Amino acid sequence: MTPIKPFFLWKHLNKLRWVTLSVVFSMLIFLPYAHLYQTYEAAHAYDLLADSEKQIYDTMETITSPFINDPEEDLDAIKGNTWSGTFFGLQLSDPLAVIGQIFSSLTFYTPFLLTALIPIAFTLVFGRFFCGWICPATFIYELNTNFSAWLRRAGLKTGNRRFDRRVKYLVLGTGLVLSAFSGSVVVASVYPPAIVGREIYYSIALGGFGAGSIFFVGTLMFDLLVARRGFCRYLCPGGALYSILGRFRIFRIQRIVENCNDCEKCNAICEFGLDPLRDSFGQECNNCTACIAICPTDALTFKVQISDAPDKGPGHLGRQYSKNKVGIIEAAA
Amino acid sequence: MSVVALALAPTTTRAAKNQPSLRFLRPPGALPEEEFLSRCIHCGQCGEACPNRCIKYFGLENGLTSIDTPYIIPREKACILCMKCGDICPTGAIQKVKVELEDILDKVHMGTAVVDKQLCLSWQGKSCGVCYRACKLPDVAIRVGYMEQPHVLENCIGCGLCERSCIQIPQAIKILPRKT
Amino acid sequence: MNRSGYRLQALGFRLKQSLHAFRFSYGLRPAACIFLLLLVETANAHHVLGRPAYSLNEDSNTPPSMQVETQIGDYFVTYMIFPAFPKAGERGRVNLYATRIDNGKAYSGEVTFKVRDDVYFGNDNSETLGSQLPDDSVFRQGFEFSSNGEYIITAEFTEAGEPYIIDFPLRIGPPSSIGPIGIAVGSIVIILVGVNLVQRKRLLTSKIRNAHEETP
Repeated sequence: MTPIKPFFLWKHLNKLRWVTLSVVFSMLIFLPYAHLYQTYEAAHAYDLLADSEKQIYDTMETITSPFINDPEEDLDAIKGNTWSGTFFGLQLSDPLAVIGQIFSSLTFYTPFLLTALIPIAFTLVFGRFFCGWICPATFIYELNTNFSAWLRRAGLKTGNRRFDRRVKYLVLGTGLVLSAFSGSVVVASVYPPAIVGREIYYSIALGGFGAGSIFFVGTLMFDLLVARRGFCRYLCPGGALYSILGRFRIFRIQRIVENCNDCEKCNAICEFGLDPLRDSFGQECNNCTACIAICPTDALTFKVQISDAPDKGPGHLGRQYSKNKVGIIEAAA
Repeated sequence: MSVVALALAPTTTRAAKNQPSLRFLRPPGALPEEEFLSRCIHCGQCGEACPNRCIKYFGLENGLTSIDTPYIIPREKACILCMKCGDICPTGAIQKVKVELEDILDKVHMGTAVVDKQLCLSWQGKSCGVCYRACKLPDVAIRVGYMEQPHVLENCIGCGLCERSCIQIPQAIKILPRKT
Repeated sequence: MNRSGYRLQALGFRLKQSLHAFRFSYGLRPAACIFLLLLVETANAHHVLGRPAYSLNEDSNTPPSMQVETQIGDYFVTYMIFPAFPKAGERGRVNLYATRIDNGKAYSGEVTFKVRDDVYFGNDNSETLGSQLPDDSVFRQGFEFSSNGEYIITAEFTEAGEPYIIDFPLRIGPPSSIGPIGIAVGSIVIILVGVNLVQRKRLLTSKIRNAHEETP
């Protein structure tokens, strides 16, 4: 039987993902500095700037001068963060921002609804891709996961509890109800990507972290001490919304049972604690492709389909895995 | 009986909405307070668009509902009425305002300036007039009379440039934020 | 976005108010417009405060001051420190202005200023700065601190037999670099390490216990 080879690019998508995550994160750091530069420029008072401010001005001038003529106007092209941003006149917003605002104001403000159209369309096609490919908090959370693996190797025990994944839908619902009652978009205060975007801006342009940074550090500690990637898996309201929207996503990762050797590396690498080995991705999968990248036998690939394949049983290359989840780990140990 | 008040520095002032100890303005063109809060998604774009960096963001000092919402302390940095924050606001919490007199008078209601004649140098006989010269709407929002004594007119929109510029310490002209 | 159009609008706006202010005759309008284009630009460039205010430092046009406003008893009190960031070895000033809430009349008696260290425990080294009479209705007390730190300034006055004592914080020198967030992060890290150590110890004891149970 000829082995089925997945398209070669899928294996490298994980690298591309880290590139996009890094680009988004570095943009969030760049934009506040760009704004500072704009304010110094608007003031027309270079001589009055403090030395550190002059340094920022000079650096930003060097970086941006090849691309723009008038920093005061031209740097307005890109503003904001992943929660809501402006790109060359196109305004994009997180769907959670739109839903949250609908609940808090109890009205539909069409221009704002339209800003979430593109993200929603992408989510319907690619599922929860925001969580894996764009979210600036993911960038830190995945580094945090690596840090926790490093700690474990050094002999420290980190948390690896599992909870019910449906808790986050409860968080989403509660957040929206609270938004409606308080008349303020409170989900924004418990949504890490929004917090990260804001806090980076506060710390650079306004001279200090705000209250949200404490919450964010709390989620990092939760991930480290209680459950790996716990906030995204079990608590994130945005993740819940994206999961619902991505339930019938068209692009899915699937297992090629003929190539699989049951090594379970995919399950170990999966940040969201899913079970690719048993063909169970579900609505939570964020198409991050880490499992494809790590699979030693090219047994995972992308398929265009609106539902997961049923459990195909043990891989044809490998030993039988037991239906009991712990079984294979014990057998390996 | 002794009355003791412990006031914290402005950055950590704890007080309820529109208390005199936390006198703040919303950005120009902002909807009335309650509607503004229900519309604002706390994205921070208004502050990032402000060329004067006068828009700052609340922590917990004004209650949970206004966490991460924009505000202006006019004495520290006042609004220069460029209206970029309204242009960029995605939710309409800050309305789009044309940089034209009619539109500004129509939509911008941040507050009203109030002159304290006991403090004002001009009213104390030392001709000053700095507030009048700082005003972006001279003779529309503020008028000066004998000895450059300032009179605030009813068209004042409360941008705070006069308060920012007042050379008296403490400032003799203050913006009272609008009450709604 | 049409930023070029925006700029023109802004200029038109300035023009309009200038016309309004200077009341140029309408017959002269075109000439006045050209003239004003030049005039308004230069006027704005040198305008004391129409331009953006840059940073909160002593070089900005109006030297800023730190301000606290509060209500106490019958009075509405404004308190300001000048300059905004006083340093040790440099002269600074406390300005206190108290008006009655009911009729807005400024307090005109005498105010005594005291200073003490802002400490939670122990000796707080109280010292009297001086007593001041109003100058333009404002009580101005000069100070010069020899060392950086956190202080509390107390203003005292008596009105209608009731003593008023108002405490204000004053920081001399740069703020501490750690700050509340730093403390929070630090304590979380300490908790993390502590929990890990405890868990490790517990793991070790249970291992030893298991080994003991298995050997006999």
